[in-house]
Amino acid sequence: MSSAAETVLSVRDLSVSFPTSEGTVKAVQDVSFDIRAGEVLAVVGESGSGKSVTALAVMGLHPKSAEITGSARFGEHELLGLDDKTMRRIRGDEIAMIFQDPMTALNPVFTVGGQIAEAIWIHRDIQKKAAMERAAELLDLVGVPEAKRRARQYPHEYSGGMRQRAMIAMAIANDPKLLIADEPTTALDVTIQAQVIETMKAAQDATGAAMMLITHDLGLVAGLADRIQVMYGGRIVETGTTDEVFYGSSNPYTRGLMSSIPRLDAREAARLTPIPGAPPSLINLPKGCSFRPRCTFRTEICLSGVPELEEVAPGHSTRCFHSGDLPELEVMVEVHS
Amino acid sequence: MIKRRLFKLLALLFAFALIAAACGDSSGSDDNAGGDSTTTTTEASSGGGDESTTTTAAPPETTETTAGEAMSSGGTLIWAHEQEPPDLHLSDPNNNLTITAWILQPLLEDLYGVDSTTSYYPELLAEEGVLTTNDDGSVTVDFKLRDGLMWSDGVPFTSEDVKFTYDTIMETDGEDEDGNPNYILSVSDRTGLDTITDFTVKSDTEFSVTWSDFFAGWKGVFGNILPAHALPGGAAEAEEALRDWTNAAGDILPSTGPMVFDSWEKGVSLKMVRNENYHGSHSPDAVNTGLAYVDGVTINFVPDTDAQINALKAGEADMIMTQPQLQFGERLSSDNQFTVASTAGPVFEHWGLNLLNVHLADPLVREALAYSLDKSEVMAGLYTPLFGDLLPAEGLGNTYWMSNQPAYVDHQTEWAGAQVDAAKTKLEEAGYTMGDDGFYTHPERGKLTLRVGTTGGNALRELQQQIIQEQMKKAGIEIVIDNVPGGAYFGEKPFSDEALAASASGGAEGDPTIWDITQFAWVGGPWPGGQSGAYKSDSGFAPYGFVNAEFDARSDECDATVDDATRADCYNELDTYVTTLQHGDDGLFMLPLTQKPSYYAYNSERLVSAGVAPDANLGGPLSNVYDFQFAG
Amino acid sequence: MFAYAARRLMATIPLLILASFLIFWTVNEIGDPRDKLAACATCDQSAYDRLVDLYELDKPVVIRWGSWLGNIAFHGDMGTALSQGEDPVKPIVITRTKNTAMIAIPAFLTIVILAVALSVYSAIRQYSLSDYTITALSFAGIALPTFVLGLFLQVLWGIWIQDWLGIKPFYVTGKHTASFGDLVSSIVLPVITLSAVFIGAESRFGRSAMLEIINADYIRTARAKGLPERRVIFKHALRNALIPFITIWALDFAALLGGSVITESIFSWPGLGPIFLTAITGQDIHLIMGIVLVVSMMAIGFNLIADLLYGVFDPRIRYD
Repeated sequence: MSSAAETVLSVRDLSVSFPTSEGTVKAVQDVSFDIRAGEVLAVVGESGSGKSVTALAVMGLHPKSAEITGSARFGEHELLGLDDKTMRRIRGDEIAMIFQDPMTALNPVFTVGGQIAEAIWIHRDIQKKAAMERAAELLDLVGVPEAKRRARQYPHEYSGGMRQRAMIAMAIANDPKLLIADEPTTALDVTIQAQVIETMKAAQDATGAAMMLITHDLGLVAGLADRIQVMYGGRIVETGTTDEVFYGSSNPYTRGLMSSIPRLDAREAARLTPIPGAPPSLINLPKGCSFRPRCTFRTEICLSGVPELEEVAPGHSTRCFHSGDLPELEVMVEVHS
Repeated sequence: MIKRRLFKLLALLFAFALIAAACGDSSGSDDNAGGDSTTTTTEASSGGGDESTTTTAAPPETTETTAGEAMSSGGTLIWAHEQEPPDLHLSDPNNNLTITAWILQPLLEDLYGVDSTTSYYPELLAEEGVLTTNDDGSVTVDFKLRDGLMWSDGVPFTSEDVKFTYDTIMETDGEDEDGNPNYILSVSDRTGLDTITDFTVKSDTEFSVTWSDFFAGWKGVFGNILPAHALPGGAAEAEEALRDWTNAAGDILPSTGPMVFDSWEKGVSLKMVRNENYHGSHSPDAVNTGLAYVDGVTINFVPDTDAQINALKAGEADMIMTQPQLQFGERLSSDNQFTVASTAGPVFEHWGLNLLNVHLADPLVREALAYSLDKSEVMAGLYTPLFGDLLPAEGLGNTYWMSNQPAYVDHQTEWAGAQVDAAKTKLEEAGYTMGDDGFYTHPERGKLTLRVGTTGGNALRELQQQIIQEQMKKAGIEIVIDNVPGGAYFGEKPFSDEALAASASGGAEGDPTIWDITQFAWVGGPWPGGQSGAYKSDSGFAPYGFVNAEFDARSDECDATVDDATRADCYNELDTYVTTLQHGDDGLFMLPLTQKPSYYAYNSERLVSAGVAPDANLGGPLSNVYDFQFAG
Repeated sequence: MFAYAARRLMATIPLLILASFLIFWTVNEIGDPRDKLAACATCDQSAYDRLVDLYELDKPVVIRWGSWLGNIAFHGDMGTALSQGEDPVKPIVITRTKNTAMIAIPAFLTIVILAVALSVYSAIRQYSLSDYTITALSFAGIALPTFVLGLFLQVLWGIWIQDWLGIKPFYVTGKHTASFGDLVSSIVLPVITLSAVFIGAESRFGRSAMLEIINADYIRTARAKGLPERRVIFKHALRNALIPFITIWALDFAALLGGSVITESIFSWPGLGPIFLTAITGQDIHLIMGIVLVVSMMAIGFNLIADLLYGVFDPRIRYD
């Protein structure tokens, strides 16, 4: 875990909106967080909560039409609005990203090794041949069997899990300071997921990189994350350590998420309790608290405005008018150590 | 690995591309026996002499200055044309294209040529042939050639060449299973040659020919005389040599005309060069009676007529001659650099009425049609705008003789103009009454509706039909236009076995049991005897249902008349059988309309003299190539 | 790969044979070379007989087709061209194909280069003014009839601005004595005329292919790696876009080599187009078959090349 280590990424008041023909989509609003060196921050939420958009904004991968305000400090650089040339030097080198769908994330007409090597020689003064060798080493590192031979193969000759591992290899190739993983296991079989998670753990250990892990899979979070940040409707609604958020959530939404997970140790025939309703439209957010229409604890006050993100304990914040009034949670058996 | 695959394939592709693109010496295309001669489009107008006159007159034009400069010779005349002959063997019936005749025109001469009045004149002959009728009915003509005639290769032209031509055409190698002679040379028409019983050569310039019977077209029988000395292999050699104009030894066939064949790049161009041994033309229309002024003629094959006009305007061609089109007027005649002109050709349009039709069987109805037809309006509407006053404004009134021939008489003046009232009178006299729809109808015959057909797709012809349709409508006659595309016109009913050539080279008539009226074109000539064939009942095919024994007898008499003038009058008389009611109620079934002009355009800034001879015998633009001259 | 190519070639032979029979039969049904003689009432029987001998017109269609096929297969003889004064067909077809290739190949290269360039440019500048301009020009190219463009260019260069840049509006006669410079200058206008419609159509196609690819995940990955945009577009994106282009190119090149009647007629270019027309109107069955055979072989050949090229460019495709 982390101790008082330096902050690698510091985001303040980040807002991203997209103009569309139907109106402005407020994808992310006033998001602020820090990631410290070596730390794994999980960003959790439903589809459309703004998790990926945040990450892409940090990476500078949004189209020019997006309106991005706020600040994202990475080392000595202010990433938002940074010129292309500098941004390109940082991408793939100091900040690396792993995407969701490994099936389509690799270019089908180039060899896997070649694509990894490309990531290397673009950023380093190194011969292409040497880069290819390094690529093979990396593939070996992430557990791809017969790495040297595999490096000369094409993506369609890899299975889904292997491809994702290749993506991981590509991401860690230049020892990045920050790894952003956007739903890395969502598109994979459950059995493969475990392997990939292991790989990511190993990769993180090996490089000491900080990781921003975006996912809606709480099981994955439990295994990897140090801190959790829950997003809803484009805003952060709760943030804290993994234990705090899992076992002591002060946010109705988070609680709803937790109780909708199927559990191995559940009693027989216990029903899953989903959160009723659907995520809000980001063009027309509901008046007041965005979660109010679906919240079991809602009252009049919830209409009055958007609640602020307030600390309920050191390092644990939540955004809810009723954070103090929520009932006690059953203490559950710890499922991780 | 991918790189290796890629390189292999690219190498293959490059090789393929190189082979394909290589303009190798494609052996088949150059019929070039003697190397190229002048191919340059020389700007013969050095210093840009503007001596162009901009009149749109038809006949040859010259300026005095050039006569004084004598041989201001030089330059290659470039003629852009869309049709290319398959080969140059004119007589081969498979190759019966006009362009072939036009190409041969300046190469080989005939005993008799045809002048601008579509009459015969002695060309290779020194004087008219002397004709004697013998006691047994046979006819002998004594011919005398000009002195000093020479082939382009220096060999003298003698009576032997004429005899050789006759022998070659008639040469056979036995008979076929039906007992017909198996001719070696492909010739479409041996009429007038197969009745020759004797051919005697008396000297280099004198010979006499005897026919078993008088053949009225005897003057035209000895055309395109072949060089005996260049075709030692006789008919067999000629059959092949005539195709690409090269004999078995590989030599180009010599010419008697003003030009000599040079080379032919198929699909591209055909070149001729001046015959330096030319003996000069005897044509009464010729201005230059010596060697041709121009060094040669190149015919560029330009398939698209718009592109031809572009070629002319761009200076890539000096002359074009093609179907008349509006673009000629719009794009060329308004430009002073060009002269657009026309000559009255030997082809004429007519309407033929089917005497078997229930309405048209009545002479009063036919008279009504003649009255309502206004030829001068057709001329004014269609032809005068394009051709000026080249053709008679009142149209054509004779199917045997044409307006530029000396024997011409207009036999239909009685019905000239739009005489609508006279037409109506005739119809009512015939028992017709005017219907509510503006058309006449008869109690037994029904409504007066007549179908006219022609080869569709020709805008000028269709317009012609429509104009006449309107004219007849005024007189209460309904004309229905029912055209079919050209090929189908002849195939609509299976082309009958007895189909007749209506003239020496014309096409045949469609079957009028399908139509009531046919709009068609025939070809006239210096000897119109062929016209009778379409009217005679014993031909086995009477396209108009005309059966008249008196006509048949008179026709035979005319054909047998030896004296030219008497015969001319005789034909005129025959014409009145079909264009008037003078000889009976079965006449007046032919309504000749007008001659069709040939249309050409040339660069009058460059060509000081370019009077394309009146194309009186479909001879083409090179009929008087010796008169073409570039500005000095 | 070669085994695959060989198998494909084997398979096309029966196809060609069948196609040749269908075409032979159809042309035969349309007309008879003796029809023209029907119009000539005074013609000799010998003219008929010659034709009957030469083209075996007294035998049934299948036999005649059989002899034609046999002649080609065993003697390499394509027959005699009735409409060309009975010259042998093979040299005619070969010369004409070479002539057409002289404008078809440069046209093809022009099309390839411009279509790719315009596609890429349009795609990366989607919805910009240049994109709209290129789109408008593409549609103009597709819609403009060939003869209008050809004649217009001819008027432009032949009459309005003559000899500009030495470009000639007509085929330079005496081709084999004309200089290389002359030849090049007379190619320019036919090439432009031929290319216009293909460039228009292909750049539309390429633009949408590029757009689709640019929005693909692997392009996002490439950017996330920090690759310069130029490399992202021209290496990562274009390489994928070329794959569907290969089919288009094979088809278009085959079409170009088949000869364009209109373009070649206007510029008096002695290629396959005009002579095919002459052959058809003259019912010259041997010449028609000769041209059809050559053109089909080229079409089949290029399709095969396209398939093989797929194998080279798209590693997902295997030929076993």
